[in-house]
This record gives sequence, C-alpha cells and structure tokens, in this order.
Amino acid sequence: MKPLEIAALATFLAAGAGASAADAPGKPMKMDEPMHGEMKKESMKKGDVKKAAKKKEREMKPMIEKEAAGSTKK
Amino acid sequence: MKKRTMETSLAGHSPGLVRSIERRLFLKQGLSLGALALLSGCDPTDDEGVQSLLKGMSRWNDRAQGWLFNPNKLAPEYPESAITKPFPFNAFYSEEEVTLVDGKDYKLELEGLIREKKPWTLPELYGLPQTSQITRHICVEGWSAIGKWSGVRFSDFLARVGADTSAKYIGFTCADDYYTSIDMATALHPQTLLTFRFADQVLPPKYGFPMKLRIPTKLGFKNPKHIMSMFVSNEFPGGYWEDQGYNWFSGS
Amino acid sequence: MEAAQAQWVKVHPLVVRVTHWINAFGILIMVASGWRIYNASPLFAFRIPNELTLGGWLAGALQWHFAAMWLIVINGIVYLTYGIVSGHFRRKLFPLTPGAVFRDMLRALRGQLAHEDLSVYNAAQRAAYLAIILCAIVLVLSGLAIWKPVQLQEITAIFGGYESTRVVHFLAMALLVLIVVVHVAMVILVPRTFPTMITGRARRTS
Repeated sequence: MKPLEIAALATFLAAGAGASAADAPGKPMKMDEPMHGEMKKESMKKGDVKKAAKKKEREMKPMIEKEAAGSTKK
Repeated sequence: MKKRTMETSLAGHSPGLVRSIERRLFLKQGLSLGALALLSGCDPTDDEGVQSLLKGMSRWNDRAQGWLFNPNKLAPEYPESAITKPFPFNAFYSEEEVTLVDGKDYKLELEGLIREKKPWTLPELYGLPQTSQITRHICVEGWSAIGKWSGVRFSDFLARVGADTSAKYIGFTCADDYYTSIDMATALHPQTLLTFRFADQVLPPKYGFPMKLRIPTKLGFKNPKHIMSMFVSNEFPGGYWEDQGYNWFSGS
Repeated sequence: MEAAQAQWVKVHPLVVRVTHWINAFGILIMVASGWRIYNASPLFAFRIPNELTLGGWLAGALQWHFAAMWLIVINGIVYLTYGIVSGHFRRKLFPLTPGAVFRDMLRALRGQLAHEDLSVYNAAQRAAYLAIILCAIVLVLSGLAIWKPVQLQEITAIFGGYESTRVVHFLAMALLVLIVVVHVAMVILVPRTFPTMITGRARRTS
C-alpha cells in the first residue's frame, strides 16, 4: 500500500473506532476538562470530585472508626 | 395632568422651580431603579457576609425539611406506560466516561455503626427479597423523568446488617468518586430502595451498575450510583455537591 | 398661599408601606434567582441572559431562592392578614367591575387618568393590584408544589402534576413581571406617587 492509502485507511479505522466507542462507557475520565451538566460552576473540573473525595475520606475515616469502636465497647 | 396638579399645589412659584422639582423626583425614581438593576446585575452572592447568610438559611432549610418529612407519605407511583424513554443520563462527566465496575469482584463495604460489617457480593445482594417501583426522578436542575427500579428495601437491608438506626446519617462512596449522605428517616422510608435493576434489566453502567440507591423522596443527586461502600454515623458526612452549596436535605 | 397651608392626606398605612418595600426586595430576589434556576433546564426555547440573573450558578441561585422564599411568604402573610382584617382590601380594591377596569385602562393609555386623590385607586389600579396578589398566591403555591412534590403532592396534583406545575410557576412569574413593569412605568409617569409609598402622605391637590 502507498503511504497515502495507509493514512486514509488509518483515518477510516480511527473514525470507525471513535464512532462505535462514542457512547460506550469505560473511557478514562478526562480530569482536567470542565464538568458536564448544569449543576457545575463554570470553573469546576471533573477531577475536582476525586480530590474532594480523598479529602473527605481523610476527614471522615478516623471519626467513623473511632465512633464504631466506641459503640462496640458499650 | 401631572403638570396641572403640580402647578396647582405650587401656585405662585415659578415654572422653573416646578420643573426642577419634577426633574428631581424623576431622578430619584431613576436612581432607585438603577439600584435595583445593580443588585441583579452585579452579583452580591460572592460577598462573605451574604455567603454565610445564605449557608445559614440552607441549614435552616435542612431542619425545616426534616420536620416536614412524613415517613409514611409515599411518592406517587405510575403505570408502565408513563415511563420516560429514553431515560436521561446525567452526571458530572460524559456518558462515554461512565465508570465500569467489575461485577465478579464487586463487594459492598460496610463501615461505621453497623454490627455485621461483612462485605456483600452481588449474588448475595441479588438473593435478598426484591421489590419494584415506578416513580418520578426529579433533578435539582428542574427536569424530571419516570423510571422503573427494582431492588431490596433499604430499611430491610439495614435491619439485616444490624445498622444502628438511631444514628443520624448514612454516607455513600461511589466508584466514580462521587459521595453523598442522607438522613436516617429517609433511609428507613418504605420507598427507599437499594436497586440492582432498571427497566427490568440489570442496572446498566450509565444508570449506576452495580447498585444505585433510589430515593423517590429526594432530588436526583441524592440518589448515589455505583455505590462501593456505605457507613452509618452521627458525624455529618456532607457530600460532593452539598459541600459546594447545594442544599443537603434536598427532599421532594 | 395654598402651598403653605397644604392639606396632607393619609394615602398608605404603615403596614402597607413596610410590606410593600420588603415585598419589592423579596420579589426582585425571587425573580432574578428564579431566572437562573430556569436556565439550568429551560422549559421553552430561550434562556434568560445570565447578566439579569442572581446567584452566579445553579446552587447560588437556589440558595437565594429558598432563603428569600421565607421573607416573601412571611411578609405576604402579614400583608394579607392586615388587608383582610383591617378592611384595607375591601376599601381600596373594591368595588371592581370589568366595565370600570376597561374604561380606566383606556384612559390610562390616553394619559387621561385622574390622580387628584392618591388615596383612591382607579379601577385599572385596583385590577392590577388584585392581579399581583393573585399571581403571588399562585406563585407561592406552585413553588411549594415544585419544592415538595411528595410531601405536598396534593398541591402538585391541583396544578396537574410536577411538570405542569413548573409551567404554571413560570407563567405566573411572567404575568407578575409584566404587571410590575407597567406599575413601575406608571410611577415614573406620575412621580408624585413615589414618595407617598415611603411617607404615607400626599398633598391634597383638588
């Protein structure tokens, strides 16, 4: 195949793969992109949720464990 | 008409004075309108004092909604013909970025004030007595859609695992990093279901496989999808959107 | 000499003046934040320019809306109770006949409305103020029905369910805004009426 044909085929295959995967879930989340939907503030990024979740876990986990340990002693 | 009455009351004064009074009145009018426009045009929401006032009111609204919540009041249920097709997908990410959870390895983790903390596999959860509901999902954005969800009554599940139902909150963490929490009264409501099926099919990834907590008495964002773990606590857990400023109770 | 011996007449009672301005402030917040909430899921094929809205984003607008809700409802209850118990509504807004409303509206359009005695409303004013009160009642009820379609489902049912309640809430807002725009335009045309809503008094001019 000539380079041009290879390029055309590659483009075609890429487009095809893109189309079939357009709605298929499971693609990695693009964390730096703005959030989807209407609940967001303009400045919010998808990755903000992961960061907030980690922070929340650091705060909540010790409290929950202490609370649960206290209740079983009773 | 206006002019004539003005002149009557200001009889003896020069027409110039009358006009100047009229002008001043008009200016006053215009200024007050300008102030109104300014109030809506330049947003006072970012002001610190305003922020704390609005947050305080939101917490007051949490309490008011807690009082208003009737544990025996059922959300209206609909016939199959009323189901919205296609049911909308809504998240902070696109449909192609929906998190895929492997059902084979899946285990629901339990933490906090729960007696039996043994993790639950999907076959174990599917084996519990199941029930269905066709209810209206109402989004905080305003739109609504009717869907059919099936699963185990959440109050039954909580009783089975020995959750302390005198505690205040139940928190959820999800495979897409989302997290939220609800009040115990709502958790025990008869229509609050831990669902595994949507429209009589295994819950598809976009609607929250393997499990979504369906709460027809709360707005959509209080209905977590892809639940990986839950905990019972008296410590206020908040939630992603709630911590950003959305009302925590958000009851319907 | 008339100016020196001016006769003052009481136009608006204190309760009406205070509730009027609290209401004006509250309605402004409710409308501007409501427009932002509308934009998150527009019912019709248009959005409200964000510059005209309040809250900055959906959560901010919702915070304003559900905070000012208490202000306008409590203020509205005070105003309605006063209006009914004191006879203020009966005296000021009635009698009201369609013929008189039509006649005074035509006069208003031709700029021939009499305003000699500001303590007496003409029929067009009576109709407009009554319509504002009715709009506000529909807005509060439909708003409650949207906020609590489960706990207050009986009210939601009156409006034909959740989705049609949203339409009712929007249309009642549109009508209220229209009447307020006309109201403010009339005040600009007859500026003497403006200070009376603050001081409560007007010079008798006839």
